[in-house]
Amino acid sequence: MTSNSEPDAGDNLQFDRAEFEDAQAAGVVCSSCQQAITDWYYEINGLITCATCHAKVREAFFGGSRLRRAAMATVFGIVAGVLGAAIYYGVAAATGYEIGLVAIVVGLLVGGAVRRGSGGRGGWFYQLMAVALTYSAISGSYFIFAAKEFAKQEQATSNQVTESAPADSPPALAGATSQPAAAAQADDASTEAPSPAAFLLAFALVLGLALALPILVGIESPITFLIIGFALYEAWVINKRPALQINGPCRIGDGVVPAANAPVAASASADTTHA
Amino acid sequence: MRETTLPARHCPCGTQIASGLLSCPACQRLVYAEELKRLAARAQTAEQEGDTSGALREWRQALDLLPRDSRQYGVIQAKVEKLSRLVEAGVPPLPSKSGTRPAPSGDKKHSAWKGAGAVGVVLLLWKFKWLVAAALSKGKLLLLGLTKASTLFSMILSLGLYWTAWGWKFALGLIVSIYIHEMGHVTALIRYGIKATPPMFLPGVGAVVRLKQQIVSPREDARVGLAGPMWGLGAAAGAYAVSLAMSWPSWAAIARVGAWINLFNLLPVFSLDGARGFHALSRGQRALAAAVVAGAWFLTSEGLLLLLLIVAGARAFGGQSAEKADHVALAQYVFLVAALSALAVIHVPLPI
Repeated sequence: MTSNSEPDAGDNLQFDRAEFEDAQAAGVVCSSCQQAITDWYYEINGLITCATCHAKVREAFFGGSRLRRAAMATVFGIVAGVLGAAIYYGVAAATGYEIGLVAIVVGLLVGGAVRRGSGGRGGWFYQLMAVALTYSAISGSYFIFAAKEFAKQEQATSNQVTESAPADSPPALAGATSQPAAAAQADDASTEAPSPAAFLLAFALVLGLALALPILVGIESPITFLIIGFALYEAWVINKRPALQINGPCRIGDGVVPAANAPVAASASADTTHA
Repeated sequence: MRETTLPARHCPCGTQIASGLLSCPACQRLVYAEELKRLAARAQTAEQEGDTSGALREWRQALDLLPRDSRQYGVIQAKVEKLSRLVEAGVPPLPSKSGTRPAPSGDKKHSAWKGAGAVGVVLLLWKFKWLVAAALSKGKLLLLGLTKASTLFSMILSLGLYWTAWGWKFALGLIVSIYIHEMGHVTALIRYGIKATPPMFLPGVGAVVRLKQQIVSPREDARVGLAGPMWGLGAAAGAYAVSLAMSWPSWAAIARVGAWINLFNLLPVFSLDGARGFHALSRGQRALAAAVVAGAWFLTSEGLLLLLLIVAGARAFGGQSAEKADHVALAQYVFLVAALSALAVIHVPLPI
């Protein structure tokens, strides 16, 4: 790094040439492999690299199958989402408290898994995938809570009806005495297979309810809303596309850039030197 | 990811300088040599005229044009740090003959103590001058922010949204609170000579000021970051005072919501103001800040403080922390937590 000395009275500052430590004085050196470069170089995010290291970086960032990456990211993301939902539910079941902050763990898990599956590529596609899977995982956890609560209430209602109906049912509720018959009818109805359209409709309704649950909970509790927002943000940020700018190849002194490596827009006319 | 072939510059030594480099890799000639000389001259003139913020602005621009691993970058970075401390102390640079303020040294300590009284008076006067100037200029500065089209239009858009949801009185109060918070950041950025965009309102979310230059030290980061909640606290306290004096419930609601928003901003995560404040705190200081948050939560039962406590606790025991303790940042953070927590739970009378 640089000399951190306090500037003296005159600072000895000159702005004609940059002053570096030993490495630069020895000539042009690849910032990755530290080998001397003699003829031409590439610049990657402000760092000087040799042709070999440039090729390795290109392969890492541009090579491979896009479809395979997308598939891997999806599988990894779904597995992480299921695991996250299980953790969320497990913590709630074990402690008796629904700790919203676990949602952030879900975001980190899913975001990290999608990133790993995509080979660290990132970008809007993987960001959206990570956010969608995180949201689905959180919705899934809420849906389990809601379903359990619903089942409990159903159970309580049926228990109440069973206990109160036979003994002291008032005349006005005389219909309740015909409950066995009604139940038999209901049983008959339940044995009938639902039509595909009804099944699809029911599935869509359940799915819609599950997806709406985090929003409904968020309306009730702004803090939960914020936490879910954080979780989604984490999943989004983790999959941000890394900034990579490559320029070159550029000639060093009188060095010659081989024709095969010459850039399409190598501009000899762009003599815009400020030096 | 982008792979570009931006036209390279041509150095007199024959080497092509890739567009992302600031000096020739072969002969080290600086690409922006002339611009750097101009900036250095302007910075030195500003220093001689006692315009510390102006000098900081020029030196920071010079930093952007220098390779980070060059000696020149290190020297200017140290200069920026020194000037930044002078700004904080409210002292203008007293130019030496060579145009820079001599750094304190062990040999000079004795003579410095002799004139301590006189220097103290001078410092006090300068400090007072800054306070008076600040008091006079704050009103002007607040209005100046509105001259930026992006600020004004995004503000009107946000106002429209909040008006639809909560009525014009509350919407206006909320917008003004957010605006004052952002202008706190802007004022600090101007003081430290850091380039930034004007405040931009994000309807339904809040507002943001984007930095155009990197902040060189955690101390500056903390000052700039906590300046927003500090001004926001002023706005919330002002609204509460008006609500008490005039018995206007809308103003109490504005004070409470404004305090809550500023408290939320103290969360030490992402690029929120609290994260900037925590940037300058040592591990022990972070733990202390978390303890204060715990106390505030115990006293107020405000749910947001529990979230703040968990995040602050996590930041205290995990991740990197500042090596050197920053007592000013800790004092500001703790004060903000205490004051904003108190305002976030004030009673808001319901309109009859």
